[in-house]
Amino acid sequence: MCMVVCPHDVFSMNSGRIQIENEDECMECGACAKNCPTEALSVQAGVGCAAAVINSALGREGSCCCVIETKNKSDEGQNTSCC
Amino acid sequence: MKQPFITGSVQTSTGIVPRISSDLSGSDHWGTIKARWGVGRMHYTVDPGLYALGEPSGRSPVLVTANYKMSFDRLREALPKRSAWILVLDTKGINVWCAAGKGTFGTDELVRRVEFIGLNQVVSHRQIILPQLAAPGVAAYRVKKRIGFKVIFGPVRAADLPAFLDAGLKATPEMRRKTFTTLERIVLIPVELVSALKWSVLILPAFFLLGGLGASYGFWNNALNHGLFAVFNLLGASAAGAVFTPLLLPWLPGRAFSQKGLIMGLIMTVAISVFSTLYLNLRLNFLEILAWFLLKGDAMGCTSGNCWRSGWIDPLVRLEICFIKDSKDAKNDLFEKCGHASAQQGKMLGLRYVYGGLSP
Repeated sequence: MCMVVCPHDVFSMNSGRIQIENEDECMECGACAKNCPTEALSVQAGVGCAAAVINSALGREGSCCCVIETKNKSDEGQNTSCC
Repeated sequence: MKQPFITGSVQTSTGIVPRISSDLSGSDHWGTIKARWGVGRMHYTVDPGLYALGEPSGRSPVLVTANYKMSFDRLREALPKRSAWILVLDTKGINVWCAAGKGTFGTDELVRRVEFIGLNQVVSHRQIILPQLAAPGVAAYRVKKRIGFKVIFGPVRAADLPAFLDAGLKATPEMRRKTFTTLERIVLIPVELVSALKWSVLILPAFFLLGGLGASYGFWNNALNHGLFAVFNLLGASAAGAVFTPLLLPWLPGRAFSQKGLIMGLIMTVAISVFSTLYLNLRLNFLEILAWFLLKGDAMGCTSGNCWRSGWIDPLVRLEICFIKDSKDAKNDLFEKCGHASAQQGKMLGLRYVYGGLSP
C-alpha cells in the first residue's frame, strides 16, 4: 500500500520486501504511514525541516524523518532514514 | 446554499440527489480565475454531500473529493459523458491535499459522510475511489473495517481519471507521481503575489516617508533616495518570494525551500543595491545592505500566509506563526490552505499547497 500512495516513488519492491529506495524524494506527507495496516512505517514529519537544514549545514548526519521499523515480514525493510 | 452548477436531480432509494454536469459554465471558469488571484478563495465552496454526474446507477463508481469548488470543478470537468456518484466531503473549503494533511479530509469525515448519506443503499458495490493525495488523511484499511467500503486510491490528477476507470481502476506509475512543473508553479504566482502585496499598501508609503527622516539632505530628498531604496527592497522581497523563487525553483541550488529562498533573497538584495547605487543618490554601506538582506527574509517568509515563499528565517518564524494560527479557527486562516505542513515542514511547505490546488 505504501507504494501505491507515495506521490514521490520513494519505495521499491525487492523480492517481496518493501524498501525505501529514493529517500531523498520523501517529502514527509505521511501517506505511507497512515495507510500501513501493520504500522511498520513511521514518518516523523516535522522534526525535519528547521532541524534538518541546520544539521545539514553543520555537516551532521543522521537527522531523520522517516523510519521503517523492522516488525513484520511483508513490510520489512532495512532500518533507514530519509530526509 | 444556492448552487448554480446543479442542473437537476436524481431520485435514489435514500432521497433526491442533485445532478451536476461535467460542463463548466462561464461563472465556474471565472470562479477559478478569482480563486487563483486570491479573491474569495476561503469561501469558494460546494455543499458537502452526494451528487450525481450524468445518469449514475447502483453500479456506477463513487468518486470522493473535497468541498473546495476548484477541486470539485477539476473532478467533474475530467469526466465528460460519464456517469458517476460524486461524494463531496466537508473539508472546510480546503483542497484535497491540504485537507488530508490537516486530517479534515480524513478517515472520520469519510466514514461519517458515507453513513450519513446512506451510500450503501445508493450503490450495490462496496468501493469508493479517492484521489491519491487524500492518502495522508485517510487510512484505507480502517475505512474498510468500519463501514465495509473498500477505498481505492485513484490517480493524483483528476485528468487521469478516465484512463484509470477504463483500465479497471488501475493507475500507471506516472499517474501516481506528483509533478511540479513550471506551468504548475506559474499558475500559483498570482495568489502568492496578491497576498504578499496586500500588506504593501500600508507598508510601502510608511517606509517611503520614514526614509525621509533622519539624514541631513531635506525630507523629500531623503524620501526619494533612502525611502525609495526601502520600497524597492520590500517590493523585491515580494517578487523574490512570490515570483522568482517558485519560477526558478528547480534551478536554485539546495533542497530546502528555505535555502532556495535565501539564495533568491541574496540575488535580489545585490541586484537592488547595485541598481539603487546607480540610479539613486545613495551611498550604501555594507551594514545597510545586510540589514535589508535579513529583513527581506522576514518579508518573504512572513508577509504572506502562503507556503512556498520561504524566507530563510522561515523555519523559525513560520513555526511560531503557524502554531499560533493552528490553534485558531482554521477556516478563516490562510495557513489552513497548506494544512499542518506549514507549521512543520519547511521543504514541503510549497509543495503541499501547490499540489492541493491542482488536484481533486
